Amino acid sequence: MKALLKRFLYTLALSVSITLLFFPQPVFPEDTEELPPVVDTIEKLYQEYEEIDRKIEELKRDLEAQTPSPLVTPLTITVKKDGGFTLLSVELKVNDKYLLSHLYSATENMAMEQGGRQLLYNGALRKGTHRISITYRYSLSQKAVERSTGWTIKLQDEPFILEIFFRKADKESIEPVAARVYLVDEKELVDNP
Amino acid sequence: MRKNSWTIRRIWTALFVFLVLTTGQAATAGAAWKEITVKSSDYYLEILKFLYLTEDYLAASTLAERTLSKNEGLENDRRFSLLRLLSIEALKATEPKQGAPTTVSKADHVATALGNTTQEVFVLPYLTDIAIARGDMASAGAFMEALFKSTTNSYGRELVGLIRRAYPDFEDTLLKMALWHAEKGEYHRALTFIDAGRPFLSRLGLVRAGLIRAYTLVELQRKREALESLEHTEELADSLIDTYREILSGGVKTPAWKILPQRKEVAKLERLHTTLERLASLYRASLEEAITLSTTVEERLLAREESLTQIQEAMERTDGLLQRLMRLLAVRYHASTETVQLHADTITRRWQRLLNRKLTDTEKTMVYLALLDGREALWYLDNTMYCQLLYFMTLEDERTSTEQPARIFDIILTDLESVADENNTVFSKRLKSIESLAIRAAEKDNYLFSELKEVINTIKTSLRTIEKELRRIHSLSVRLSIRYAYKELERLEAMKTMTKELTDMVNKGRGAERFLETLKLLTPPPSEHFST
Repeated sequence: MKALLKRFLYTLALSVSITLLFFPQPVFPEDTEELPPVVDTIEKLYQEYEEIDRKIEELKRDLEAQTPSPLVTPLTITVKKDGGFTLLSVELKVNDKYLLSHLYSATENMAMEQGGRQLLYNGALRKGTHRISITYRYSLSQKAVERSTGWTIKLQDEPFILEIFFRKADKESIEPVAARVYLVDEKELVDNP
Repeated sequence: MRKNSWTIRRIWTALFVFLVLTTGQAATAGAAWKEITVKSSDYYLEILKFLYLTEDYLAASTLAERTLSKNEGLENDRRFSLLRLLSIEALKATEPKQGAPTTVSKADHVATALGNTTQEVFVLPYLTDIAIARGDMASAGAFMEALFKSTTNSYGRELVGLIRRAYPDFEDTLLKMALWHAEKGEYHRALTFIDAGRPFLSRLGLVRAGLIRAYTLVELQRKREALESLEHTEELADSLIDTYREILSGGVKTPAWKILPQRKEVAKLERLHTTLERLASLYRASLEEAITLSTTVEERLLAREESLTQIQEAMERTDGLLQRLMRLLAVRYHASTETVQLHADTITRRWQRLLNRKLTDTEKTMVYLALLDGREALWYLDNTMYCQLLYFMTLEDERTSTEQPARIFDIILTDLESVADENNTVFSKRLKSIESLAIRAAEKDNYLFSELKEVINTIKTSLRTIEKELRRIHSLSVRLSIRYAYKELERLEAMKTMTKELTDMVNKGRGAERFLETLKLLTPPPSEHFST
């Protein structure tokens, strides 16, 4: 009888525990009450984004209506990276004038390590010689390091693609390797191996 | 004499080599870049991959669409069509809708031809739920198995992630299905669901799955594996307990979705956070685009300013140059061959003063030829390489570039007559018209520039608002984490005790019956459990 009671109590305790484990959990409404204003803000921000997007597209069309302009040459700057370190940010300057900066997330680092290529800049500059300089920050061996470097490029009629590939120089540092990229299609490769 | 000539030749050679080297160095000063050749398809695929992996699905699908439509050769490239489809599906699963392309394109036909069922994958969890609600467990099982099968490809990890975000209840559905089969005595099937469904489970879900797994293994007389499963479950519970204790101690500020993603309210909070982050990312992308456009406009404005200055200088020089040409032609008629070179030297010096630079050999030849033959000099004038006046015309005025050289030759002859008659030349008139065109273009660019500046300021303000909201949600989520950690800790500790006792029961050979009784107690029939 005692054993039966013990078995019953044990089974009951067990079933209550597992039931608690599998059945829906309590909600804390007081914590989620703050959400509606956020939802409204998101809605408003999204509408505003659509308006901005439309405006940019419109301005882009206006700009393209005047192109191809012989006064400027398309310039694309892309970023790629190797594994073993984290790229934190890149600040881009053209002729010593600040242009833009990009903060790299963990996802973006992962995307580049898996062979992704980030478009850092895709615009146009005047024909002639320009100084492209970058200030980059990276984290390696739990240390954040900041370095600067630059390259001189000469823009002529052909669009210019500059690739910046960050790779480990040694255990302590990384180095950006720049290359001018020439795009070829499959046929060209077959014809001119 | 011969030695002298040899020395001179050496000096010239050395000078030439020095010049070549100096010029080469000047061209590459500070330019330590190399030149590489990349296949277009690989280049665009790398950009597409970055956009997709960083969850910029709108840009990824647009780029894939554009690249596919521009390059017919890529139609058969599975990588493009698959990434495009995945991006569109991901877009559909996100909030707010990012305007996923809905038109059927070449890529869709390619994907259909490939027999790819990517689109169906996202419907499978929904179909499973419907089948369960109807009590059709066989179909539910089939849908779930189809889902597992579809997520074993190379994009499986991404698909699982997307499904977990789109269907936060899927973990419960999966565990309940496994439990239902275990109760029916279909232990192998229950095991299949638990093992194949592991990628869809959170850490807490894995602890829950561990219990069902242990029960089925005991029933299959695989007691050693059952004990291993229980041991593993206990370790997992311990690690979760540590995490919760750390959260409660305030040592780490973990958002709620990192520990309990399957809760509806947490999933909602996470969706809001993800949506805000995505909005921030859209705004940042727009900011970069606006800055890029504004730089292009600014660069063009600067180039136009330079061009306008050059046009104005050219206007000042045009008449003077033509007058000088007239004088050259006059000299040609009256000068003897001996005096041609003398005149050429004088004129060269004058032109050098006029142009503020030394004349090139070609230009010197042009002066000399002008003295010998006016027509030949005019041919040089007609050549944009030698005549900067025409260079400006071709830059700014489309009409000039379409005109035949003969027509330009006529213009020059007319101009020479105009100079003789002291009238405005066609060149002057043209330059004036080019100047007004350039001024109008500069006005348009100035307008674009100011509009873009305004857009950039608006984006920066919105980004500040988004960052503020993100901080608010994060702080709310951390508060939730602490509250949940407190509740979950009690449950997990109870579960850990239970796991230990069950292990003891299995060791003593009495586990299976007690497991069965307990599981029967907590598992209601599907028709009651999954009500519509």
